Amino acid sequence: MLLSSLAESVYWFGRYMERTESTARLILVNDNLLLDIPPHCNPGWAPLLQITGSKDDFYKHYETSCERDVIRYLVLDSENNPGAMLASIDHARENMRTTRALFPKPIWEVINALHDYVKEHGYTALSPGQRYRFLRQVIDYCHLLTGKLAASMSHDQIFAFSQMGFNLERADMTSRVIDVRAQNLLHAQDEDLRPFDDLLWKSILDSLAAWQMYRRHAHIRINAVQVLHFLLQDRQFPRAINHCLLQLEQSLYSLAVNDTPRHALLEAQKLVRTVNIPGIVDASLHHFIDDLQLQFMAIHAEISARYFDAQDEPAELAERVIAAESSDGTAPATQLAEDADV
Amino acid sequence: MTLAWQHYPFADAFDELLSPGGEARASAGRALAYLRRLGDADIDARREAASRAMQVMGITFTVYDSAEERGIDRVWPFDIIPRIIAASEWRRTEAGLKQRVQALNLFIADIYDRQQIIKDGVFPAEVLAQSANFRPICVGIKPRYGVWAHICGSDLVRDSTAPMYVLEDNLRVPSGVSYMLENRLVMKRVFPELFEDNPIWPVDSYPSQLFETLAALSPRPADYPNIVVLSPGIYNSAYFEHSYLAQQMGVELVTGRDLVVEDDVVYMKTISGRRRIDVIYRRIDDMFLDPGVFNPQSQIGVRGLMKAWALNNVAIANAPGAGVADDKVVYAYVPAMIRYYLDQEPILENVPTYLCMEPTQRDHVLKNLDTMVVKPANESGGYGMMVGPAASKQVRSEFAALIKDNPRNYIAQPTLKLSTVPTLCDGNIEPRHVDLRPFILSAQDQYVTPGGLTRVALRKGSLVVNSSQGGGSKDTWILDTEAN
Repeated sequence: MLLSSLAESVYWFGRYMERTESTARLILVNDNLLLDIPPHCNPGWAPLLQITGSKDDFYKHYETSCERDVIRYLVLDSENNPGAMLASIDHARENMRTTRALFPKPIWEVINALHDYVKEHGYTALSPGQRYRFLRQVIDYCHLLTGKLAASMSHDQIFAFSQMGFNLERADMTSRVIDVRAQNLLHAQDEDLRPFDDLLWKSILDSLAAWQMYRRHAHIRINAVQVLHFLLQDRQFPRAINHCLLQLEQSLYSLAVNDTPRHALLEAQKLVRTVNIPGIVDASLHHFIDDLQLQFMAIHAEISARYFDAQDEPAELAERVIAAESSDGTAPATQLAEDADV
Repeated sequence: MTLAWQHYPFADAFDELLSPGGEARASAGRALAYLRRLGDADIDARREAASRAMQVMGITFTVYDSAEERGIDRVWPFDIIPRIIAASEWRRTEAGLKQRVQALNLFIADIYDRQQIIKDGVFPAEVLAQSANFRPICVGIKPRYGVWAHICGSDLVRDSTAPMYVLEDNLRVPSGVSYMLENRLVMKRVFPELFEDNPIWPVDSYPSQLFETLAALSPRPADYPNIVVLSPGIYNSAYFEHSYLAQQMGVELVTGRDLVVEDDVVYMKTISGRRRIDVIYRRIDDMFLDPGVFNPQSQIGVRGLMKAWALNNVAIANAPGAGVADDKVVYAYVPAMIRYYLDQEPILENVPTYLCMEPTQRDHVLKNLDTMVVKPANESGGYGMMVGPAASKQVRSEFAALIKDNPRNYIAQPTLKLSTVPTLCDGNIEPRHVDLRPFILSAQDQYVTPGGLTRVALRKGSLVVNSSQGGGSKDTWILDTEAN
């Protein structure tokens, strides 16, 4: 028996923590990338606002997308930006507060330490010389937390909800990074950027900490189709969308009733696995990502409806459970995964 | 530093452990002899160990920090010297508490029914008419066993050598029982040898007793009842206790948003659908229970709850409206209620109480403000009161105005010299004033905690024991001296 409200808090805890890490990673990589690109064709910091979907909101509070303001907005400005790193950590901590009895105690200690660290040292993200150290530390805290979760907590329903939060947020972020960066690349009329093509594709991989794994598994030099294939369809790389969705599938299977969320998940999986990548590289990538994000929203909506705001009487659900067990058994249906995995 | 037991600086009050000559009282003999044998370093080590145990067990209460805009968990100060009560005295006290709560429940049931006590001229109608906690919507409702106040925390104090007085009865959402339980756990860890030597009555059956009491209220007695603890949430000062009791009873801790009422039945929302609720142990005030009936602004209540309760589809403990007897004016009539409903003499006495609504009593109060404690009728937590001897002239005249302005809202009592218990204060043993809050459970049977929560005013000379106002606590022992 798990209260809906607790499950919801745990799920959002996962999402906020993942958001914290991706924000840190995005800034880190952009920082690194800008140093390598000649000033006259420098994309600057605006793409980060696009990726996080906060461009319009940003300009309500700031004049230009200069380095200092964008970073302040993304890291510190929880007053104006509900998605700021500091706000995400605050939310994660509040969610953990209501559910801390469900988690091993060290988890609460890590989130507290992270909260205090960012509150105290957050301003150092504004300074180019100290930024790297700060963001690395944030990422390390996030990994400490996920490590402790995986290693010290029973992989039960509560764990499953946290993992669903992490994985859905992660899949969403990967799709955003691809969308924004690839748009810059694919539609770059700017011949000046051509020599830096490789560099930009590499930066996509870097944003997702995927560079090394890509090299090891893809065995070829960087090109658009291969990078997209890796980030969308790879089954093993943790930030590849296909992988995130497989993890999500596993979490869903550990819950008694998963009919509607699973249907939404299957739709998303089908979309990712069957897409013809060479066909979208040129024109329709943005549309494809749009569709994919709608699918993610649908998964979230179904998870919400099924677990956080369930209307059914237990008896009605018991029937569904029985039906679910007799029709597909309890093992994840991964057949679909095979056909798309080249 | 040397703990100078022989130079104990007696306050001008009865000491619970030491007789005026400095000798240990009979019930405290063994324990004190043992404590006196311990060296300072040893005592200090135990004090440390207790405070560490409190930290580790996460025994906290929440204070709201307006700068941080959030609640902060504080460890509630705990003193390792126990307060000891002889079993012979306790048996009498326990009987008195049962008698008292029985009469209070009969009174509440009567008030929401035929109001016979008013018709018979024992209880004045105008007191009821001005009661802040009377809920007209509850008239005609008949909770099981005729019990409205299932959980009562009555505060007992001792003045001089006399038996304990009842200072007030908390019938709304009395708190503190978790500290009683945790204090005992800590003491057992810190002084295991004392427990071997002394036949101390155990207190740890409270959660099971509470569960039984709640289960007995279920409107579906054939089934295994679904019970929840309804808390206002993590920012409430007693949140620790709410979560502690839920865990100890093995029931869910919920907030208003976890519950929903449909077709006058209460459900809790879980990841596998809705589950029907039979009994709600609510730790939120009446006025916030149901925004459809009471405070419409309430974010922590459940719409439709009152109707579900009125139709007996769910039991609520304490019943809505039970607070009508938790009023310091009504308190003054409890001895009369005992005589009226039970035809018995009260076993426990009230503290002499002057009702400011009565002109002659009011005059007496106004003339003697410097020796009296003035309390508002419906406040709890020690708020809004005046301790005459400690108050400035200006505060006294402010209170005189308040009383004249709204006499029904004030009572006054002589300032009691609350009894003291030796307490560790900065490396010395000093007397500190205490009270005692036992908890009384009532359904078809009654249960009284052996002892209860001893609260101690840690500031020298202070008489205010509330956690929000510099109070701490001690373990309370009921000791079988006959068996010694």
